[in-house]
This record gives sequence, C-alpha cells and structure tokens, in this order.
Amino acid sequence: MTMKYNASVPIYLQVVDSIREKIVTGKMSPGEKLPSGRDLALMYTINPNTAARVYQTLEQQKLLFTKRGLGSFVTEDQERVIALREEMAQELLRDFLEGLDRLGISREDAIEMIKLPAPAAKGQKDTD
Amino acid sequence: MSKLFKYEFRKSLFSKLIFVGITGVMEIVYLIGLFRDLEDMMVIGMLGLFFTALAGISFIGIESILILYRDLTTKQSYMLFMTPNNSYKILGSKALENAFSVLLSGVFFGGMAALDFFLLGRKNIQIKDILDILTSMLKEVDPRLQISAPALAALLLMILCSWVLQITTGYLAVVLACTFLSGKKGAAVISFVFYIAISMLTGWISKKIPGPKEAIPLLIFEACIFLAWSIVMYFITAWIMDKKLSV
Amino acid sequence: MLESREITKVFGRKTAVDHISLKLEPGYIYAMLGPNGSGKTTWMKMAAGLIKPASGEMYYAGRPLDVNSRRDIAYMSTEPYFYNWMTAADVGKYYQDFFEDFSMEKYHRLLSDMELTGDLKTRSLSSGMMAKLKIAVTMARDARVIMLDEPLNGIDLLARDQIMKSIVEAVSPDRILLISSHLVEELETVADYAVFIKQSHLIEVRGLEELRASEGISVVDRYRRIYANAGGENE
Repeated sequence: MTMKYNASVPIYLQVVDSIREKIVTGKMSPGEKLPSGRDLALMYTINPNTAARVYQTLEQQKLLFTKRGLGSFVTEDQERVIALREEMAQELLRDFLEGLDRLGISREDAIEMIKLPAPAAKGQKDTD
Repeated sequence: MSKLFKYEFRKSLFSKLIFVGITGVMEIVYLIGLFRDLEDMMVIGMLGLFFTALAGISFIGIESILILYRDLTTKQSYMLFMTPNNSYKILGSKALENAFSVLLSGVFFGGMAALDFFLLGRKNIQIKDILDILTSMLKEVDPRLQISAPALAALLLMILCSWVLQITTGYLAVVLACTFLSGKKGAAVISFVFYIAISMLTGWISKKIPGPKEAIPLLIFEACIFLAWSIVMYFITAWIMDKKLSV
Repeated sequence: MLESREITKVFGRKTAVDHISLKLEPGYIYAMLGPNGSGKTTWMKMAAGLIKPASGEMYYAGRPLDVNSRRDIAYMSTEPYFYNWMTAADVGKYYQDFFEDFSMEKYHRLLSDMELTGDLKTRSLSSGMMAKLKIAVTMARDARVIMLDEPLNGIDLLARDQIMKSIVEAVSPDRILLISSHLVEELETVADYAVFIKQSHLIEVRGLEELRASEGISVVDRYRRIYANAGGENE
C-alpha cells in the first residue's frame, strides 16, 4: 500500500487516522488481528518505531488491545467503535465549520448548502 | 589471509594464463623444430621461450605494482579496506603472492629450459654456442663460476630475489605517492626519484655486508640479502599504509 | 553506538569535514542530509575506516575505531567498487569470505527481490541494477552499523520501493542505520532523525516526528530554512 502523507503532520497520527477509518468503515472487523509492528511499517513504508507508536496511540484510545505474545487485535467493544464514528464525524464537522467560518458563511447558509445536491468537482487541485 | 591471497592471485590470473599460453605455443614450435630437424623453427622457439620467460617474469612484477596502485587509488580500494584486515595483511598478501608468483615462474621457466636443453643433448645437437653464451653470462657475474646446474640455479635464485626487492621497493614508492605525496604536484616524479634513491641505498648498504668467499654460496647469500631487504620494505610500506593511508 | 568527536578532514585546501561531533544510537534510522559536497560522504568514509581523519577521532562501541570495527560496520558507497571480473554471485562469495555476519541465503533472497540473478556481470550492469546489487550485498550483512551513501541515486520508482522495504526491514534495536541523501523527501517517512550537514559543519540533529509535532513543519521545510541562499560547495 502506498499512502500519500502530509509531510508537516506527524506520520504516526496519519497512520492512526487511516486505521481508525478502517475500523469505523468495517474494513477491519472487531477482534481482527492487526499486522505486527514491522509488517505495518512495511505496509505503510514508515519507520518501525513510528509503527510502534501508532499501536501505542490506538491502544490508549482503546481501539485495539494486545494479547501478550499473540499480537494486537481490533477492539471487540462495539460501543467504542460507535463512539469513534461519532468522534470522527465531529472532527470532520469541526473542520468543515471552521472552513466555512473563514469564508464568512453563516450557519444558516451552511445548512441550506448542505441540503442542496453536492456540486460536481471542478477538477481543481489542492495547492498545498 | 589465505582469502586475501586467493583474490590477489585472481587479479593477475588472466595475464598469467596468457604467458602460460604463449609459452605453450613457443614450446610446441621448439619441439617441432627439434624433432623434425627444422633448425629455423627450433631457433624461433628457443628465442621465443627465452623472451617469454623474460617478459613474463618482468610483467608479473610490474603488474603487481600497477594492481597495488589501482587498489589504492580507485573505488576498488573499498573491496580491500572495508574488510576487517589491517594493512600488514593486505600488503602482506600482495607481497607474498608476488614473491610466490615470481619464484614459481622462475622454477617453471628454469625447469622448462633444463628439459629443453636435455632434449637437445639427447638429439646430439651441437649446443656449444649456447653453452658459451651461458658461460660468459656466468663469468660476467663472477669469473670463478663454472657452468653447472647448481651455479645456474643459484644465479636464477639471486636474479629472482633481486626482482622481488625491486617490486617491494616499487610498493613503497606507490604508497608514498598515495599518502605523503597524495594530491601534490609531481607526486609520480618524486616517488620515482625515491624509488631510485632507495634502490641505490639498499644496494650500497648490501655491498658493505661481508658474505661467503665461494662463488655459489655468495650468490645464495646475495639472494638472502635481497629477500631480507624485501621484508624491510614490506614493513615500512605497511606501516605507512596503516598510519597514513586514506582511500 | 557510533560517535565522532571533533572530527576533521582536509583535502588539500578544502576542509571536507570540520569539527563534527555526532553520536548515533542503535535502534534508529538517521537520514544524513545536505547538498552534494557538504561532507556527508567524507564523514561516512571516516566512520567506515576508509579515510583517516586529520584530527578528532571516531569511536565505535565506546572504543576508538579500528580494523576490527569493520566486522560490525557495513558501508555502501555511491560509486560501484566491485572488481571488474566479478559476477553478482562472485560479489556474494567475496562478502562471505570476509564478513562473518554475511548471510548467503539473505543475499539470494534480496537479489531475487531486486530481480537480479547471480550470473550477471558487474561490468555490464546498468546504474540502476548496480545500485540494487550494492544494496543487496550490503543488507545481506547482519551488521551493527549499516551506512548507505545515496542508495536511491539513479533508481527507478519500483526499485526505490524495494530498497525502502529492505531498509525498513533492517531496523532493529541493536542496529544503527545511516542513510545519506541529497533528495530530502525520499527519507521523509522512514527516518527517525535528520542529521543536517552544511558546508562541512554539523548544523543539527532533529527528530522528524518531533519536528512535525512541535513546529508543524516537514523535514523539507526545515531543510529549506537551513540551506536557503547557500550552495553545497564550500569555496
């Protein structure tokens, strides 16, 4: 897998986000065994120390658990996954609203815009 | 060290095989001439063998110096100097391989010459001219020497050992050029002058050392002196490499 | 642990490395960054014992670097250095003859990963194939220190992935990996630390995640800040 990274944001956070998304969307199912730290590093072409930190962070967020000697597994706690979906949705919403605020669009207008069908992308590229 | 030795041998294998090949051809020419009584072919073969021997032994030494130069100045130097071998071992394998090759070629060509003369004698061919040349060569070295197998063998040994000393002195000159003189203008010329100076110095000191009185022991004694000098050159060169060399 | 203390190397009038003190710890990948001619290669060659410093000293495992350190230190130079007569198989045999930590099995695996075969003549390899061969034979050593000088030079995209993979695989708690590059982004995701060398001086050693977390900038941004308005050559 090749992932495009934002070089200004810690790599481990980006990989954490990628795995969180997989858990929420069901690409990784509850109780599923995760690759070893080394394999994760190879999959994402990242440093194994970074991979270890990814698992550390996910474990702190109670999204995975470690069985000694067996490896790491996706949490089996469905409520945690539902909560995660909520967290991620809130994050997106926050970013979205912040963006609209910067453009000076009011909440009311924003609500109207959401109701309209999504405009087709104009093929403009993000310039970073 | 046997592994270093193996790779040193490998580096000059190609040219050695070429000389063995030429020698084989010349020997065949000689033998055909001898057994078919074709005097021209025999003489061509004989001269060919003589010059191949001379060129072969000279080339082995010169090539060894060139290989050292290449092993110090090109990227191939990493092949030697990234291995856990110190300069004494690296240079030692080169010096030993070379002395071994020179002496072995001496035995090889000397043995062939002896065999070819023997065959000549068996055919009852007049070899007086050749013997005259050999005798005058011996007289040149020491008027007391009579033509005999031991005298010729001792002479050959002395010549080979003096050649080994020339080569080890050459190593020293190359290493000087790659260390103290590295990057300096005229490094090649200065190291060549060094080479001449060291050769003269070793020759001058050697003459001062009293040796045996008889002719053949004197030759063997001289051979030993040359070898001793070669060992001195080796230690000086390896010491400089160890302390100063960057590749 | 590999360390240089106030190490300096002068070539003629040019000071290639100027009083660099640098300590590398096992378990990490260090990216040595700087323009061509800034002194990266010279530092590495001193650490490999190929070049003798003019002053200062190199230490390995707490002791001054010596011939025996080479048992534990693997160095891969940018330029090809194999003997002309060698095939890829001969190169492996040579390493096996001289390095106890060399694994022929691993070498064969890396060769096939890189789509190379033993019968290839080193003399006639393309620059990309040569780069892959050098990586394969160097990484087949279980060395405590692995130094790769510009391993991604002249490498196509697919081979680059293979090389990055072998670098990530080589990380181990008891191994130092030092990789130089003048192409900064290449090592962005895999390196733990960036060692910035500028005009033969050490500027700083920075943790890459730390740089991103605390300053919100990439190693490329940092690189630009350090090297702006400065060439690599010291004149």
